Amino acid sequence: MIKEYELKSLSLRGNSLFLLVISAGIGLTLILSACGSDSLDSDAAVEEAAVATTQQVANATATATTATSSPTESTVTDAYYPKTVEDLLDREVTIAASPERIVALSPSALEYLYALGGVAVGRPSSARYPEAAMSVESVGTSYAPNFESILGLNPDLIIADSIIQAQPRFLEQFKGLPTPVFLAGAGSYSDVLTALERLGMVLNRNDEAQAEITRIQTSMEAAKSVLPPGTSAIVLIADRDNTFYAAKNTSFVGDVMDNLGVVNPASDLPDAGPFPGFSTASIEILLAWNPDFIFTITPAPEPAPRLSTLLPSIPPMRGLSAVQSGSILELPLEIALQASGPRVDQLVKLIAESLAQ
Amino acid sequence: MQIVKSTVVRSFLLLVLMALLAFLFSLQFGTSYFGPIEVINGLIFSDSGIDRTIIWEIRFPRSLSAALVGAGLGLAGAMLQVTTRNPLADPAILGISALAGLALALVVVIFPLANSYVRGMACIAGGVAGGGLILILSRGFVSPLRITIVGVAVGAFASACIIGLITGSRVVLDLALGFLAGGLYGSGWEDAFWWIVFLPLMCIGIISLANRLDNLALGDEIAINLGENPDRTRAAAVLFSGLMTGIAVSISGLVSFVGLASPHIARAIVGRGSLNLFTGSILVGSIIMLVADTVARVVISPSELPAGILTAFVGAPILIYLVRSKLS
Repeated sequence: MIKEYELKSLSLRGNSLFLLVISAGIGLTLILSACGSDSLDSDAAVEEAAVATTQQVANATATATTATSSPTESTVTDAYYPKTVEDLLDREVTIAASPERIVALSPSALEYLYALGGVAVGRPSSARYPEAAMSVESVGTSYAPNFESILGLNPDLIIADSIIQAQPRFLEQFKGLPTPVFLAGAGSYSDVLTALERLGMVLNRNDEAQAEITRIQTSMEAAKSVLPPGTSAIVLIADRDNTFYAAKNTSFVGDVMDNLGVVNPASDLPDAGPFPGFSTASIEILLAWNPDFIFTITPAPEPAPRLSTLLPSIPPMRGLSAVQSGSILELPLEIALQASGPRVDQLVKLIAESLAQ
Repeated sequence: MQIVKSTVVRSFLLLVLMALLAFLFSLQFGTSYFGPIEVINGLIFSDSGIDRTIIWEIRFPRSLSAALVGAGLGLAGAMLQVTTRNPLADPAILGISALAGLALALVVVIFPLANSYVRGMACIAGGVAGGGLILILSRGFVSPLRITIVGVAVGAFASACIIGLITGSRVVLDLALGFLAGGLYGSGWEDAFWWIVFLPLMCIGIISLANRLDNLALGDEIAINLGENPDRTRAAAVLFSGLMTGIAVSISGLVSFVGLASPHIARAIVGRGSLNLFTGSILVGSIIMLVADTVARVVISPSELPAGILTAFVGAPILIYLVRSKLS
């Protein structure tokens, strides 16, 4: 061992040299990157390039419109953009020209787009609706969108989700993109109406937006009219350990029920548990509430058993009047949780009809 | 055996070349493939359009971050193994990663809108605090064995706290999978910029601690006769490892295996002297992390696997091969 130590001390000088060489190598890489332009300059350069590109697109669109449509139409199109709209996180987003290539980053965002008559060139992998969007290229999941895929599609508008992608780590990444990012999600019933209205402004489809909003509001009014007042209902979700979580009114489905006038005993619960808008509900507290109706949501895919079929098989749950009378309904996962958005009218109708019986 | 017998010069050049190649490949591969010339163009010229944005804004900072994570973990692992004389020591086993992670989780729970610089500083503080905590708890007799045992206990405690926070807090859950499995999703220039701070730090750490740790390897009594302060040197090494671990955790979460395997692989290539070992571990760690991240991005594109679990896929076969060939 001492021999090794002596030998090592002889080669020290050589090793120090190599340490320096390696540092110099990495240092050169950094200098190269700094000279190439540091990130601030590259942002500016990229933005300039993007503005130039969008201006070219705007000119091309204007020229195309003038060439193919009547003079009055082309004047309207020319005057509408550029347009600045506030998204659902109150960020001001400026759209330079009519968006032609739109990427949606969550099922809700995608459904908003198609409800307004738009089409996407990129969608999240978790989207299942509408059918027409299934052939569109996937850009990764809602929780981890792949920015290379998104940029590779050359979009001129990105619709992100104001609920799923509102954290700093996403917003920081959005800032580095050359494309405007509009955040629109569905965390509540009023979110859906606001998002449709504002996206309608972004896409210059204000009439379609108004039609959608009216359709949804009509279904809400119709649902309220068939509902007996004072009905109580809860929405349950279970995790792998069969811990129950009840929806508070801060969740989407809870807020829909609140708008319908349904009494939700879980709305007073303190925030507890890892799921936003849902709170841990022990079996004792479920028995204390004894709601008139129990809605269930099962996030696990088939062939996992649905929570609605599992509930009656748990002995203490049989003390609930809803379980005894069979007043349990499994809500479709997409419209109740995963893809909340313009299909809220289906959710409203389903809840109201179940409670009306 | 051929690798072990070649001169140190050749070995280092080989490692540097492999690191540069791994870096180049990480820039080439992804959702779309770029040839080497396109990559160079994308790096140097700022008007290549979308290609430039992908390479400059997405891949280049991500590869730099991956290299920093690998370098930091490799160096931390090497220092800890030399200090604790335990060939199975690494930042994760000694609980330093877990404490850095706990610091990050706490910051995210209390300040959900904290930007990446605040999160980075929290992790660094957590890593150094982790090292400090281990030293304090093994105070009086900072022996290698005691450091190891205390580290395992601290790590178990911190991991339990992290799981508790994830179970109880909806904010941390957002980070959870990417964080616990370890990965470079979303890393950008705000992570890569840490090289400016950490490259000089690594050089200072290696130059000041390598010889001292070599002296300690002769035994405390001989080391004291050579003018060393064994306790202080060990403390400095553990704290420095905490610093390196902190920055790695802040960028990529809890990555497995790199800190453990890099020193062993480096030792087989460049020898056992601490100076060689530390520098080699930096290079080996970077290579493992760059390759793992490239594979993670490509395998199920456009979705990504967490790179932190692929490090074991990449590194374990190399380690097993080296162990077997050394024993034969």
